[in-house]
Amino acid sequence: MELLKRKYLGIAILVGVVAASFAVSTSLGSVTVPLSDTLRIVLSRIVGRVPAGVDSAYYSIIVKIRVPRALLGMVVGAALSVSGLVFQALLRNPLADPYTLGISAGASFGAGVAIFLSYLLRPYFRRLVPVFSFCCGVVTVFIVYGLARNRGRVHVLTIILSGVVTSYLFSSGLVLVMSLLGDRSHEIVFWLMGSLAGYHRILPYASCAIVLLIGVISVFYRDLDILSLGDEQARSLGVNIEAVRLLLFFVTSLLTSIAVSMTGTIGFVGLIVPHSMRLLFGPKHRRLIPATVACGAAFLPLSDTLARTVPNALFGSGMEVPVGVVTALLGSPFFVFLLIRGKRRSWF
Amino acid sequence: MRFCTAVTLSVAVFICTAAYCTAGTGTDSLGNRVSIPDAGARVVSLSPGATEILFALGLDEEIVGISDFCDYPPGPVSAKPTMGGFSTPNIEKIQANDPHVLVLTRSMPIELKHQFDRLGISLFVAESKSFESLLLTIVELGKLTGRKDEAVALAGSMETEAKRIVEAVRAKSTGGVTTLIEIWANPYYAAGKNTLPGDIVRLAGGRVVPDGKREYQLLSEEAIINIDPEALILGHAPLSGDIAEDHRNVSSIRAIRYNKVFVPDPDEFLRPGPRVIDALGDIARFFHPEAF
Repeated sequence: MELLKRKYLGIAILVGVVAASFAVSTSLGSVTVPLSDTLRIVLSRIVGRVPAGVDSAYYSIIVKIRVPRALLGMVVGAALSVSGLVFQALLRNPLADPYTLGISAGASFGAGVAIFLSYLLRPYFRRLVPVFSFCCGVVTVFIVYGLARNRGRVHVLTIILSGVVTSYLFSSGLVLVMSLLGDRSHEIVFWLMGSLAGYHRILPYASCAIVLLIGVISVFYRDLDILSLGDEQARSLGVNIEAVRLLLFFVTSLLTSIAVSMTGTIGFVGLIVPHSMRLLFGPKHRRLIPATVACGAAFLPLSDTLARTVPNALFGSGMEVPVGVVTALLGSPFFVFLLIRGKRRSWF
Repeated sequence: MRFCTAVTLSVAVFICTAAYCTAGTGTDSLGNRVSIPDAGARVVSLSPGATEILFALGLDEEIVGISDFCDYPPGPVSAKPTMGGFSTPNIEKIQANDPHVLVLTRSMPIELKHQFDRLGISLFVAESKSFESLLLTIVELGKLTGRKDEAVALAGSMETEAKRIVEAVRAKSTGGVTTLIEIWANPYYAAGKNTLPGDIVRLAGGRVVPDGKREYQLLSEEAIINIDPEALILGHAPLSGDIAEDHRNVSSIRAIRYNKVFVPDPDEFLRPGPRVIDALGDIARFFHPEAF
């Protein structure tokens, strides 16, 4: 009974954190919309009506700008955090993050090539930036896995090394594309900085795919626990490590590639969120996976809210800070705090 | 029944015609036709050059927002709210000012374009790669904002002044002064002839080198020594404050040896706005001081 209570309490806290993050990112912005109006707009949208007596500009800001942006942040935050968690377990490396296998370099190269082709051939290629970056991200993982595979087996160290090598290769390719683009390369620079701004038509489909892939990962929570112990132990416990690792690598890579293709590379989320959750909830993936999903879904929209409000509040500038800067600035001190607390006693 | 249909059709045609008459329509640099109301138009400009054009057309009231980089004309721009940069526009602030059109120098990242499409805000891309296309942009911006007469007059006066300068230097010019337009010095980054600064230098009596099709390009020190330009025009303030020091590795070129280096006001020279005519005059005087 005690356990059951704690379980429900945990779920309630997680849902509450995500809901609070959604509420904050929808209510705050560079334009001050009264809280009552925000509530009325969001509630009336939920029941499918247009609220009466609300400024139409406010309505557009909430419904067409803030809500899609918060949802994008939630989906991408969850995807990157879970990817980081799985890569840390699979590679047994605390420094692993969603980009360790070179997905970020590959996806950036893909985006760069699409932007380059939009100038060289037809502007239509600019629409294909997400497609190119997604495909190149996935292809990178195939290359990395192919390089690391030796006599049907893949060693953890080899895969990290081939990830680093492939990353360098694609980074060089990207620099080449940027130098060929000359002054037009600023488009790639902004893509590399990562941003949740803009409207992504593929968001509903991408969200469904991300939820599905996270679901697949959740099924393997026990295998992730065992894989964290090491290959020999996992094998002796009866886990088909080659098959499970291959499957999880590709599922996680798909997850990361989908996220990166929409928002560019947003760093630190995939590193900070899983580690923080590990310090709070312990090493078992049955708890870690939902906790990481919730924390990632709450953390990224909150960081984005700061990124788009602080410059306006402090300097009156309309400009936004890249969200990756905020995730790093917010995440590092919090991580250090958790680390110091975690040394003294174990939480939960 | 037939009478009713005829009346309905007539009313519809009248409404459409009235809407067309009250809407300013302009074609942007990408060939897209953009329409906004003539009266009560609301414009946000994320391009410093376009902001200068819009103010020169007397659209003080119609401009409801500018970019963080728009700083001319100094008085009027200080009263306008800023809406972020070109690639990092503050979408919320823009929407809160409810503009009909957003004027930019280049096409936006696709997800931002989709966002503005969703909000019903038109995008007008004003990209000028030559003096002639700048004049065209001014006229099209005038047509868009219902200030066609003012725009034609502004473009006309700029054209007349440019012709006067071109005529003055033509007699003195023999083949043109080979000129390197240095946009940045570390690394060397040069503007080609197919750019607005390149065209300004050409009109002022210069011959832009390197003579390729590329708009902007990186150049090695060896390439610059090989080109050996007669004149150097900087599109930036000297990095260390001393031009000779900045160009120590290419000090053998004629421009440095004979101190034929000119630093126009970068905003006048590089911004596609009405003030390029001042830069044109300054550069022409630099090439051929005896002609004026």
